[in-house]
Amino acid sequence: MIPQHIRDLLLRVNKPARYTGGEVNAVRKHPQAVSVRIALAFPDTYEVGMSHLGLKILYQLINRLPFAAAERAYAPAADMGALMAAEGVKLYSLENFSPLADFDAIGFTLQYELSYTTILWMLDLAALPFFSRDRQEHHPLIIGGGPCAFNAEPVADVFDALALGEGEDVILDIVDALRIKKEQGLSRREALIRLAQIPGVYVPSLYLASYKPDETLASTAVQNVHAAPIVDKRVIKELKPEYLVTAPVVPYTDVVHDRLMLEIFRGCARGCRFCQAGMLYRPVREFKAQDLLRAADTAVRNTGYEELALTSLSTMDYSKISELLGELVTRLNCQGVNVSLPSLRVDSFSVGLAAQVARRKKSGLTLAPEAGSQRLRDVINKQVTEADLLVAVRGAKQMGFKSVKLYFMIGLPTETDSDLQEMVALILKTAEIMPVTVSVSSFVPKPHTPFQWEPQCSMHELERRQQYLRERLRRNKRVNFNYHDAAVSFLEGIFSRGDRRLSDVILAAYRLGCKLDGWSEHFRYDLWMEAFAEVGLDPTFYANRLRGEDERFPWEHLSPGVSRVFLWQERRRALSGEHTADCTRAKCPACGVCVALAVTTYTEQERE
Amino acid sequence: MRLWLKFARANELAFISHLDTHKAFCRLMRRANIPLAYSRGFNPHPLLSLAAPLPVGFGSESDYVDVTLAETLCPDTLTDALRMSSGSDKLKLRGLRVVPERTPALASLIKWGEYMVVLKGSGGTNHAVSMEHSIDAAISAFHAMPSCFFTKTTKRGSRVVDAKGLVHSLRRDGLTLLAVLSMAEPAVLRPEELVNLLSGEGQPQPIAFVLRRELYTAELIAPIHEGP
Repeated sequence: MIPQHIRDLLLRVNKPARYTGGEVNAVRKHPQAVSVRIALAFPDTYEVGMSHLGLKILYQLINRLPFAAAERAYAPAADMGALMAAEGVKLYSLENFSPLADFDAIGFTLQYELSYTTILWMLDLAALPFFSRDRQEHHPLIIGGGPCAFNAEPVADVFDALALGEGEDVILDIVDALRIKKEQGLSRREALIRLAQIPGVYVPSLYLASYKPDETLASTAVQNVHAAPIVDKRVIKELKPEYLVTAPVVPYTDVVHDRLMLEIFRGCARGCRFCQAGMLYRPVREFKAQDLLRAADTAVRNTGYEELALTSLSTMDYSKISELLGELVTRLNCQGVNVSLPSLRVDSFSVGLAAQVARRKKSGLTLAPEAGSQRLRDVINKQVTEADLLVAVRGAKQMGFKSVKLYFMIGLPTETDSDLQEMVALILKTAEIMPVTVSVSSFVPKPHTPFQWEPQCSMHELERRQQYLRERLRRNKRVNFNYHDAAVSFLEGIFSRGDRRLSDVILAAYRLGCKLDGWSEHFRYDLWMEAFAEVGLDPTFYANRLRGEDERFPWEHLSPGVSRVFLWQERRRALSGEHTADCTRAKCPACGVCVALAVTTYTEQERE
Repeated sequence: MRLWLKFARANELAFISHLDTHKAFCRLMRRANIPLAYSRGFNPHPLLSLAAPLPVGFGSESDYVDVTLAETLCPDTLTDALRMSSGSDKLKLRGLRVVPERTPALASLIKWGEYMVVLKGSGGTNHAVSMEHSIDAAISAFHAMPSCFFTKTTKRGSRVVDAKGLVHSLRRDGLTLLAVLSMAEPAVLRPEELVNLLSGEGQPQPIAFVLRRELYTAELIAPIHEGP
């Protein structure tokens, strides 16, 4: 039953079905029947959070434990949030309508730098202190994970602990630590020291950051013997079928990705030099095709979904993709279930498979050449030529596709107007074949990538380049040109490579009214700049500065296993336009992950 | 094979929209492994429709679904499948009826809806008793009126209609109104509109909860009379 004080709010807000729970496959355990309760929190609204695979996996794994329960919590939309604050309704979980403060731990996923103020907002709505040091014994532990945990320094003061890398094993270790904390009545501090001893877990309060006179980092020094000087990520050595989500919660209202997600492999070894996910989730490990087929059947039966999407960093690179897709389509189409693919590799093989899958509705397909000129594609190690793209698009037209969407980035290292000129030419050539929607994002240098030393292109220069492209494309009726707000990319650039001093900026921005920054209608660049001024930090120091070869980074003690030597070498190769091969297809470029973490890459093809 | 199905929805499902309800039933069918028939054409969609939309926030014991299956199955098998599949605790099967293929769409046959309108009580027993008296007085006054015109506002605009022909029956039980109201031509009368009419010039009594209990045809017959 929905408590009356919550029900009273629901008729006054948009899309109230986001706040009621009770969905198919939601797991509701009585709070008194379990010893550990974790709230899995997504720092964005329900429709965004319900589209995220990672939390679904953790939800399934925790709820399989008889002594533990995982419940879900999302940020309310602005209208509901304002009403909750006004009426004194605390942020609650969707399973039991329990206030978040009643949980043993709250696990936030850190998918995006601009979700940090929303985390503070959720803590505020839950009546919990923002910073780890201010929380008391009875408060839940605030734990984070996800890609941004690999440089969590800007939110280091907020989190009690962070988990690096894949969550399947580490979450069970954490749940166990929470159980022991409760059974043995450990203090918060004792529990944190216990957590710090779990491989892959980073407890920021056990480290001290100090800075040089030039404002760069001097060191992040361990303050406790039990904490590791360098925290290595956790990685799953053998992907087991139980990591496939077969009973996801099925929302009753529209969410961003309202379909089954079948993860077919982890990692990507293509080695695009701008791509953080490619570096963080190495090595490539493929699920067994027979496990995938069985999981797909079970998941359709458990959810009733009408669509199944294959997800992975580069879906078409699954070694047996053709066989897998053929079999999935045969099994699922007769049940009225469509199979869909995310953005495709730029080649005719991929387009052919997409056509085979999209039997009925061939509306559009998405390709990502990323950069306009061959020179720049060599810099980023994107192994695609103009001929590949045009052949793929011509093939798509023949197979009945009506339009194509192209993703590009601007502001990549070494980019000049002549690269932009070539991008325009490539887009116009494509538009001669079929209508094109162009989406241009701005490059954000990320930690743990070969471009981690690079300055981000300034906001004004990004805006100039956007206008350069717009002026040359807007008159063409077959081109629909879109670009991302450069101010948003600038903020991403600041926080992706930020340090601990940014915690105060995030808090100042939240106090000024920033939240849900990922939504253009809520993003307030002026307030962010006001927050920087208030705290006295220069945002361009973080975003637009070229780092020295030997500069210590705030994320130096957080390791995905890829070596700094490799990243520097990749940077050098980028600047000279040298290609680095994919280790699943050619020789090992010695990125270091397999050695550092005692793991190996494997594909379904090799297994046979 | 053509079927009418009747469901009761759980309390949490009171807040989902008409379109989302439709999707929820399609997914329930697939979980139950019941093969839906699809429309022909470029973009086929399942032949499943709801008898009457339910306003967001209302509970319902009368979600009627009119559905065509791709094959003929035994009604008992269907009933079992719908009662066992996951989510059947939230969309609870109340009845099933096999109808001839050429039967008109169920949505076109529905004329009346029976509602339970729970009013918010405030204060103690004395207050509740005085509220009950004033509700009774309002109901008697409504019954005594030869006509009761009000301005009905919909998305298409507003017009003046007579509510008298739109109320089939109306009575009180405690602080709950039980009403059978029109759901089709000449106009739909919503439970909130009824409460506003009863309060006359005064402040309308706040509603705690509305439950739609049954749907009826023009002859006041429920599409499915009893449970299977």
